[in-house]
Amino acid sequence: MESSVAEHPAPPRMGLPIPNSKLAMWLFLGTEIMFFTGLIGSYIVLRFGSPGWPTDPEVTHINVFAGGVNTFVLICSSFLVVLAHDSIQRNNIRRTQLSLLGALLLGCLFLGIKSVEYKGKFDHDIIPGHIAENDAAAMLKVTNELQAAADAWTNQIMPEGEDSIFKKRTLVQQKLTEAGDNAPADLVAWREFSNAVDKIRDEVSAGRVTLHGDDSHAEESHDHSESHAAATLEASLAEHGVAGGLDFLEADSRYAPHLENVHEPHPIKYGNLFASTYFFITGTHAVHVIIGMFLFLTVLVRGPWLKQSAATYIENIGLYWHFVDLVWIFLFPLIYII
Amino acid sequence: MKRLWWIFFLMIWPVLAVIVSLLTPQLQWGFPLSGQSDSPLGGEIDHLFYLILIITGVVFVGTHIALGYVIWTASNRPGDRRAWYTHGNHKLEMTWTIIPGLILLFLAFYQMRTWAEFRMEEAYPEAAKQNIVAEVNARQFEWRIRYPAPGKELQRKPQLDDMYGVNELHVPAGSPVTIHLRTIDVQHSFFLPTMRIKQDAVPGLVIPVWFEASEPGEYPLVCAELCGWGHYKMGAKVVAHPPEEFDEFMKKMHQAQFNDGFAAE
Amino acid sequence: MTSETPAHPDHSTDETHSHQAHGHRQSFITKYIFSTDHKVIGIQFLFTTIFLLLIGGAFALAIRWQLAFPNTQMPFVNKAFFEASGGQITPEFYTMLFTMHGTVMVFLVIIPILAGAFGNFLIPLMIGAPDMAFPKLNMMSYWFMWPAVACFGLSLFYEGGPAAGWTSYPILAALYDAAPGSGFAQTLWLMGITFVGVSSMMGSVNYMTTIINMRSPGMTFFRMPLTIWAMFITAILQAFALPVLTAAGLMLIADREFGTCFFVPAGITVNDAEPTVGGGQPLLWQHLFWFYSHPAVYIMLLPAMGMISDMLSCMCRKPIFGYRPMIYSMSAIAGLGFIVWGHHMFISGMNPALGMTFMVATIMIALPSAIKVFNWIGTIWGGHIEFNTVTLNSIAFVSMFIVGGLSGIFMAAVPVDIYIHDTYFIVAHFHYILFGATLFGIFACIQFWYPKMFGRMMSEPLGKLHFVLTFIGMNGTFFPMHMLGIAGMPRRYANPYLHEYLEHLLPLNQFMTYSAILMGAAQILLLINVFGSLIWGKKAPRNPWNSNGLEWVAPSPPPHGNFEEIPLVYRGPYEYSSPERTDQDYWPQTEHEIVSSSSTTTA
Ligand code: HEA
Ligand code: HEA
Ligand code: CUA
Ligand SMILES: [Cu+2]
Repeated sequence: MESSVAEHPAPPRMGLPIPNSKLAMWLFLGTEIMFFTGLIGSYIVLRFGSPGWPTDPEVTHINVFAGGVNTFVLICSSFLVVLAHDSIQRNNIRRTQLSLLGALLLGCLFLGIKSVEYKGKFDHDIIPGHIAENDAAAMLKVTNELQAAADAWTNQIMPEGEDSIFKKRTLVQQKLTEAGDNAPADLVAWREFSNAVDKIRDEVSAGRVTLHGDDSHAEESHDHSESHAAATLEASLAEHGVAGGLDFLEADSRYAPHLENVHEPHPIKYGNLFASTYFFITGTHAVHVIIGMFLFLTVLVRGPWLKQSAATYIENIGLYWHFVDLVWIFLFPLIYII
Repeated sequence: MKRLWWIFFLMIWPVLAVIVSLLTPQLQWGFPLSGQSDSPLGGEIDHLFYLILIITGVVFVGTHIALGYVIWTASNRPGDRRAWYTHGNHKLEMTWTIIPGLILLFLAFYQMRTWAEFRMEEAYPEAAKQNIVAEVNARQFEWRIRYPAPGKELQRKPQLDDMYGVNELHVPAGSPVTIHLRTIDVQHSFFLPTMRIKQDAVPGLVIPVWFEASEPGEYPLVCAELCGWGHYKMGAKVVAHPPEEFDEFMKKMHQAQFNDGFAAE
Repeated sequence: MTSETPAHPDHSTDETHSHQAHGHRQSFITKYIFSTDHKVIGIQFLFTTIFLLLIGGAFALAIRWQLAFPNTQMPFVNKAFFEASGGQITPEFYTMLFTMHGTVMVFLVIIPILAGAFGNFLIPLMIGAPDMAFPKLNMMSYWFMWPAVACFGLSLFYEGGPAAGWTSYPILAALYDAAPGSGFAQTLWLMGITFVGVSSMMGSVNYMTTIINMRSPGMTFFRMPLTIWAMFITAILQAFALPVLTAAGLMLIADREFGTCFFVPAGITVNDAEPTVGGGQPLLWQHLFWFYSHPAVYIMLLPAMGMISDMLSCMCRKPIFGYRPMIYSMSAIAGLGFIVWGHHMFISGMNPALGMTFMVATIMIALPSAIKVFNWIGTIWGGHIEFNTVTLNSIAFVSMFIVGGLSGIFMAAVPVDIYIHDTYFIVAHFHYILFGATLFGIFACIQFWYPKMFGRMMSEPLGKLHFVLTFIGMNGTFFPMHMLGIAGMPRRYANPYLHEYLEHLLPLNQFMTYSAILMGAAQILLLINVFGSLIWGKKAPRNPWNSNGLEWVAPSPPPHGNFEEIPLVYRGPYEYSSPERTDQDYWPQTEHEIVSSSSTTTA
């Protein structure tokens, strides 16, 4: 080639026959792949290094169906992105915009479903650092939550003042004694509830109860609400352990509004690790989805000024979106199914 | 003249380095204390160390002689003579790939046995597998040691009649012994400099470590993994007893720890 | 190529780069602060990292002070800094010192000076491009360094500072209770790492794109200078190793702040706090960290290797010996670099069988390094050397690299590593490579490309004096560290003399400290030389070293857009002393015909 170069040669263009931005996007996706490799690798190491990892959806509240729908949603949105790229190349601006809008909406749908899933976990307090991993920790957690509920109730009755909770409690007690027999119903309920909580706490700290009581068929009949609640707290505790005690309280409609933040105890071995990886990995993926949607917006806001020259740009964000989709296709079986 | 000075300056340091290295044992800067390893495995490690030292020493001296030589010739070229125009030499390239390659492979495979002996369960000496003397539990910033009662075996869970000690690990001399290494808090590292033994203690793991003190005596034990501000002061000692006195010593310790003041015997 | 008028460079043939501002008068701010010109960004990186080198060096001197005169008052600074502890360096403070010393040196000095300063400045110039592929991204990669600096800097002011070493192993780094006072400081430290990561990631994607797609006509891959090859391979390493560290860093932040437990096993009681829940694995962090940080040590070396090759070839007036083997060995180092991370973890408690495989891989990495060393020697062989500062620093690079590399072999051998792991032998190893090799390389680079950067020459006598003093100081400081290591002195000890078997090492440590002070003082000469030459330096011609590279075709300093016309490349960059050329002993890459050449040198 050297010899063929004359005075001012028509220079051969060096490099790959693709625009810089596209090349850079591919390279960037390479770094993203390594990012998720790090995460997925950690997941695999942690998971297979922890015998007894929770897999049962009953336990983890993983929603395989929602995850599956989400997979489908993302695949559809990927298709729309392809359509958008195709349309802009044909200079069909309207269809481009519609397809991107569709992809954007599907992205929203994805996040919506995701939040429903997250909500399901929050409701059961499946949050890293909150999960009891064995019976003892679960009992401790329930008693703490019950105590917190009782305290909240106390505060509700005696909202004013900076007094300590102990002081307030004695104040309410006083009120009750003053009122004598015709005490208001909610104060009576409060007293009964506090006593019950104290009772449970004492039993737990004395080590007289277990989580599900002595009878081993507690496991079999899983729906607590009906069968468990025995006539008195003592009986429930004795028969069905702390879980039974809680059921007893829940059966009483007066307490219901106060038990919102008390969670059904069920210890999950490696639950914290499970929740950590689940939230972290799906969370980082969701952040990527949001970034992708933001990129769609950058095109959509151009409105009528969108020109065919944006084709490369749309192709690049399309590449990004496909990547986000692809990551999900790996994550879904890994986290939801195996 | 100026040239000479620069070549002298650049090439004097390898000479000094070699001299200092040769003097090191006399100056007590080498291996700690006696300079001899206090354990048989340590002896093997020293042997490997010296082997590598010789190989790398030869490479070091050789490359520096070559470097000095080429600098010398290159700076002595008369002004009108151009540099030697060459883009390299395939044969040379092959030689200096293959020869170091073989040396390096040899080095790598020569190391394996000692490593296996130290760390691969299958290759442990029989005696080490039998002789589990204590659990060493590191914490910020001390070593807690738990021995089983005389005549009993070390259990994973603490037993009622276990004996405890802090910063002093008693072992019999002259035979391999194993300790179980744990940590209560952060990472630490169990380092016996004179025996050339080191093993990190990792939260959540129990790691068996075996070593053998050749002679009765006291040996330093320090921490070699950053564990917080007090890392440097995690010093302790390993006390190796003559084997015939060791059982006696353990019995005495048991008595001392379980004597309730009313003379049990 | 003879025209001297700063004509508008004509880069209509190349596509998307946005040159909004070329030719127009720019305000000070857009020109020097928020500049998108790769040369300005490179120089910004250079000055920033030199400044940070001083800070990191100051930390090092404090470390040395403590090791030589434990618990005595430091001169000058004790009043200002250590009032509370009676003028002494407390152990907590010592921990923070070496943590920040390592962090600053690795993440804020060596990596950014190589890739950020020289990579930025040289890549477009050497491949004949008017600028980087993405100038704005380039600017951001510089500005993302500052949040990192801010995070690291701020973390010092939280009581105790970040105190887990530059490796930040959890549990120590994961729990608030583990290190007194280092609560939020450690989180800030991790955020700093994340910013550094983002900055490097942007930089490396940019470099790769530029090198692949922006080469000027005729610049085939195998006509690229080794500097560019090195930068290219380094960028690949960065791009594919760093995201893993970023992921790990985010996980550790989550562990600290959001109650996850990736690295925290159950039942750990630190400082009498409540036992932890969870079931994470502390070793996972080490795997992730070293998966990045081992390639990172080559990120800290390869660019210097490439630039040294160019400088040696030029200073010896001789083609590089074994151009292709050099490229292959660099690629081999990079490739092997991804599978040897476990050699930092031989005694960490990981599966011992892995130790064997990691050992073999690690030892084999010496092979490509050997090829490079021998090729450098071959390059000098039969050359026509001139002893200027560049040559001296480059030769020192080779010599120091051999020592540092050979000490790596000791550690790569697992049984020997049982003994020397986490002793000063390690410290000796990496200072020989990081200071001895890389930093000497950088000194050479500064001297060599300074004329191109600022249009002025640096002072030779000053440069030589700096070299001599640094060379003596550096060997005096770091060679005895090998002995300390063999004597069993663990690293990261605030006061080793507490232990009987180390007491006799105090005089040796004091000797090292004096050497370190000498070395530190020598850096003042560097400062004077760099900043003084801006004013007093001789005006530099276009091609002061009679070098072949494309960068020397552009004016010194090059204008925005670099070249007056697109340079056409006819051959590789190492045609020195070619017998085909009789009028001069070099043959610039852009010159096709022999006769037309003489005009290039007049500038
Ligand atoms: C730029 C930086 C750099 C470079 C290039 C290297 C290069 C090498 N490093 Fe180094 N290393 C570090 C920086 C670097 N290292 C740092 C910072 C640490 C400590 C981190 C910490 O814990 O804080 C470390 C730690 C470290 C360890 C861990 C020690 C421990 O903690 O126990 C090991 C172990 O194997 C190791 C090995 C090697 C090897 C084999 C090479 C090889 O690449 C070297 C190859 C070169 C040669 C061998 C010389 C030239 C060859 C010849 C002349 C040929 C002939 C040779 C023979 C036949 C033997 N290094
Ligand atoms: C490129 C990397 C690099 C460089 C250049 C250096 C340079 C130096 N290093 Fe460092 N070092 C590391 C990387 C580096 N180091 C790393 C990664 C660690 C491990 C950290 C860890 O364990 O976590 C380490 C650890 C380390 C230790 C071990 C600490 C310990 O384990 O307890 C020691 C001890 O002597 C040391 C010393 C020095 C010295 C004396 C210098 C000298 O070369 C410095 C020379 C001085 C200057 C270059 C600056 C001159 C400054 C002035 C004249 C003052 C002016 C001041 C202002 C303007 C504010 N270093
Ligand atoms: Cu314990 Cu360091
Ligand atoms: Cu390494």
